[in-house]
Amino acid sequence: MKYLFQIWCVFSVAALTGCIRDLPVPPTSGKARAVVYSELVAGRKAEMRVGKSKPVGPDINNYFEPVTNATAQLLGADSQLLEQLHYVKDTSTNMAFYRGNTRIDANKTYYIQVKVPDTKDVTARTTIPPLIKVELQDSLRTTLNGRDVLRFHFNIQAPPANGKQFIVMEALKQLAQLDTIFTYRNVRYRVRDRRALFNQVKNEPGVTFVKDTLYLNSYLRIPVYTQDENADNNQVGGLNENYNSILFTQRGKPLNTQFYINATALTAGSTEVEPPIGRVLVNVKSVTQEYYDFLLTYEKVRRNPGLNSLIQAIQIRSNAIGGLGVIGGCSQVAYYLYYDNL
Amino acid sequence: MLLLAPVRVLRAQSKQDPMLQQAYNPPSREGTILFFIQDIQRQTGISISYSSSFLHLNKKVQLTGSEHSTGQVLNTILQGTGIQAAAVNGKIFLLRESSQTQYYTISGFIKEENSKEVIIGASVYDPVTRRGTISNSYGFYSLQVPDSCTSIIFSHIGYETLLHPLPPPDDGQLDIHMQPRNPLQTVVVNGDQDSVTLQAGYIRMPVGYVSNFPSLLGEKDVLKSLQLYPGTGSSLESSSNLLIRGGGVDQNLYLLDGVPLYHTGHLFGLFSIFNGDAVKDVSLYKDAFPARFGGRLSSVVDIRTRDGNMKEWHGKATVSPVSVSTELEGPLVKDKSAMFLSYRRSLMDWLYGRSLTRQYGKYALSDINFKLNQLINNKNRVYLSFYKGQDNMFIPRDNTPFPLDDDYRFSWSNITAALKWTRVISPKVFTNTTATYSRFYNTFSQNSDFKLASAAVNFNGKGVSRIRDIALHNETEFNVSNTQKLSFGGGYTYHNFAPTAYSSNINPGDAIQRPAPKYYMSELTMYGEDELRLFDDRLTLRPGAHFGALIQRGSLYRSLQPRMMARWDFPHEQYIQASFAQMTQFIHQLTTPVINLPTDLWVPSTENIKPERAYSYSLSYQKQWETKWRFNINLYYKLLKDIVTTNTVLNIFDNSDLWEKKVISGDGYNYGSELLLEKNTGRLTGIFSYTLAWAWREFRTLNSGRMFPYKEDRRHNLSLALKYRVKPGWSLSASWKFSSGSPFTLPAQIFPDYDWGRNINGKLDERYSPFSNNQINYLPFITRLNNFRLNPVHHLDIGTTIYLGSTRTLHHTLTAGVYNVYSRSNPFIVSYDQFVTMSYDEIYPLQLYQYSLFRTLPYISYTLKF
Repeated sequence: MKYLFQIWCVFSVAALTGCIRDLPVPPTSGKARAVVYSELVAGRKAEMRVGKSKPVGPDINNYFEPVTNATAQLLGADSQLLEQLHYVKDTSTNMAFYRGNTRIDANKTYYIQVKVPDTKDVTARTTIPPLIKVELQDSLRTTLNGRDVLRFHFNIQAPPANGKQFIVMEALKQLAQLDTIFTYRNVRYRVRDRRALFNQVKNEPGVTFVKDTLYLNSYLRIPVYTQDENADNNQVGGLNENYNSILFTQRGKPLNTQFYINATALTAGSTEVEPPIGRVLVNVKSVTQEYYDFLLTYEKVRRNPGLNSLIQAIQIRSNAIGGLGVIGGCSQVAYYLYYDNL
Repeated sequence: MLLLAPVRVLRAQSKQDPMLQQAYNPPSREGTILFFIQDIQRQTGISISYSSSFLHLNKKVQLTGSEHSTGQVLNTILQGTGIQAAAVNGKIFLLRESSQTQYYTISGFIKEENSKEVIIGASVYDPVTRRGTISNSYGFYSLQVPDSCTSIIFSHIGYETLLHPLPPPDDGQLDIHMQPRNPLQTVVVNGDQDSVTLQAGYIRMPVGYVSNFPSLLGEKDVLKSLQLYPGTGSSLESSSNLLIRGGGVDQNLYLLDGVPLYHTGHLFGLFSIFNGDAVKDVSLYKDAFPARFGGRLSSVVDIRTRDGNMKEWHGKATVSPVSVSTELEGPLVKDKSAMFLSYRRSLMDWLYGRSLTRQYGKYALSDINFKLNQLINNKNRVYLSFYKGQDNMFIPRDNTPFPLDDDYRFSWSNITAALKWTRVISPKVFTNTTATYSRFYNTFSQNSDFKLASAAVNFNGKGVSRIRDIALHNETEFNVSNTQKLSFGGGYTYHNFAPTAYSSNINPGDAIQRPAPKYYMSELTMYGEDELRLFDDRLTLRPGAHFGALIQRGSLYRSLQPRMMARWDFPHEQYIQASFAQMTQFIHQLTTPVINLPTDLWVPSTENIKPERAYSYSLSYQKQWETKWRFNINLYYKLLKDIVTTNTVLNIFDNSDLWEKKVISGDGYNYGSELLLEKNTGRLTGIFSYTLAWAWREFRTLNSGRMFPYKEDRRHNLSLALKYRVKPGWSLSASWKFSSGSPFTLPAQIFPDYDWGRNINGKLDERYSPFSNNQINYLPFITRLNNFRLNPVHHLDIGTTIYLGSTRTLHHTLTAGVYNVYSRSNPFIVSYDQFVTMSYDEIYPLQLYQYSLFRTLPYISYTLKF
């Protein structure tokens, strides 16, 4: 539903036909900043994505070059270096990916420090929330406003000591590549790499096959829904709308809520939109407040970036000092759902 | 000298004088003062001395029958006049009680000679003392004149000035009929109104003024005409959205015949709903608000429609390539009751429907105004007025410029009705009681065949948004004396708001069926005001107070709003005025900024959302050169508290969209100066106005809590409008408007999108997210809100009105002109990046796109009048 805003656009476009002009963007003296996205998840290894912003000015486009020469460090609460994350070469990734070997602990404070040449250093501090305790009471295929959805009934335990807990629920489909590994003369080959050889030898005795599923660094966001009036999505839109994630501020009490994910993409090839093959991830997270604030404003921006003079722009919250992005602490429970034949 | 002597001294000497005790038998009990004086002189031979300047000899008097002496008769006939009889030196002198001048009150209605329509804002004054008043919104005036006064001047910019001899005091109500000036002559504004009741922050436009200057498509627009004056503006080029001194559109109280209106725009605000042909008088209050007004922060726009001709039937029809407008007025019972009916409709769908409907859709607007005006007697009058405005829009899904998923239909309408009873209780007291009904109703529907789930569904959705007010108000004016006028009154309004109610044929499944939110509220108002003139009329003080209360379940808000106006008049028609006003607004509009959508949501103050308040200060100086020129300069400062905004777009067609969760409140600071130079008479007339202004907003959760320029902040606003009467029946006009560019938030930087950076693709389910078609791979980094200025808006428009002559009783007039002569591309919408963005993977240049609305646009219309 685009409602009147779109109608207004129609009217405007109709009325303004032939009256569109490019305006020069004023030159800027601003310098590019380092951009760091890092979700430090309790129990997992530290990861970061590093990039660079572009000052808005004449002659820019929306291409972002990966920053492969950054120095990304993870430090402890006492500012002692725990580890320097290493760059993971992956041509499929949109932002340069850095990974370490340190497993993140709940209730622990970490600093990160990222140096990108020609930009200011980025620092941030985050304390990983306590482990989240989630009980999935049931799940059910149902409909919501005419849509096929999968409903989860979650019960999340109250945060300790009557504190606050910032809950984020989201669903992704991680794309998978199906392949077969065959062994020929004691050498293992992937079919996709050696298709001709495979076709030639597949019927020979001694050739063995193993099916293999490769999960890719590529995801599809699944629209999610809530009907819970306590959800902070109320600050963004209506409860019949769909979101990237459902957000709750949990104060002292257990959270008992229904979480819906769009079922269109669950099964590959099930509809005319042809969802890709993969597995479905449903994440229930407890995140730091700074990360939560970022996600809430991000939800608004996704809905409406505010890049035109009709609508008020949204300022995204960030805790990356000296740069942009977000460094968020998180403890999560992930549910893996396999609908596709892998 | 005796006439000037204090009567008390003489009375003591003459009380027992035989001349006053001389027997006298009056020939009748009834007669004028002059009759009895002459009869006493004739019967008794006593000479009686008096001055006719303070004694109204034609006053009818009645004796009681117990008078048998000259003294007794004189005492009776002079009773209440402040005059006493005294016998001195063989004569009877009729002397004043004291040496002070005596006053008496004249009152009545001022009407147009031919139509008997009442005239608002006519000046009434004693030419000797220059003391006077102006007729109120119902044409009523009340003035105390000295007994030395022999005639009164009645003047109005649209009428020939009238010098009327003063009737005897007991002649009852003095109704005046003024002759209209030639309608093709220059109509001037606020020309000869030197009455002190006019204020610096007050603009009144009389009938005819609206059509003085060129306009977009030739449509006479009341609100756009007001935008020629300083301190006023519009959010977009050619928009009828009226902005006053840095306030929002929702901060103006629009009253149509006293009925509040909530939505005043046709076609997204390009035209206002006020049909220029039906309007009689427009008043705009920018500061020094009279105490009777309340409920909005920035201004009051009081629009009165025509009453109808009580003498003859007349009609008018105007046709242009885009619209037709007709009117009919006349007496139902001559000199007793009259009606006025007008109808306006756009013709786009009729004339160009076939080709346009296919490509873009269909649109039509219409307005109907009706008024019935019944004179019960010379003290009582009843008005019944009705208005309905309607917009209908249809957008097909396969329209050329912007294909959609659905067919859309919108239909929104305003209905107002008012029943007024005006009553002259006494020459000094006038009261009006009004019962009003106001309704804004917007329906929206969408229809499509689409796939939500596995099966295709024919989707039908319908939304309704409604406001309904029923009110009863009373206003009373008590002219205590020429130096004191009291106004007081009160009212009750029942509000019923149903901001959004949406339903569709889709099976909700697990979705909770939430009832549409509805609000029932009672609003009480009371006010009192005292206008005082001191120091020989040089100082005018107008203290007042307005009390308002909003009562609804769960909350009660009360607000006592002090008002003060002080003005010091200098010689040579100059004055300085200072004013303070507190205004409180109980209801809020949660709007898409800039454009005037019928889906803009009006919501009340609740437990969580406080009323908005404004504290307005102004200082002004005015100088007038006779009736020709007027120069005015104003300084103002306005502090806004608890004003509300949303930092997201509300989806009114979703009952679950809880608006209260999206509202944030903060403060505002508006200040600036205004300058006006106006020439009112002669062949060349015109207005020059300039405004230098600032408007800031401050919200704790926006812009890191720092102040930022308000969306409607315009640093400079300039208007120049001229009209030249080439010869009777032919005039040329031109207007040039300039406005600084509006603020716009331009990102300082862009950086990789969070999802894109993590290789998360896909977009939201568009059908349930109005703005999700923006799939961009970057996020904007915004350092300051509204940090960039769009290009200024300016355009020159020219027009002409030619009276073609008449055939029998038919008069023909042609109006033509050109809007935006030099074809300026003014910013209407500016977008960083495009509205319909690309997919994640596409690399494309980022730049600003400016969409303009109207380039050079001619107009022509033909008017037939009988």
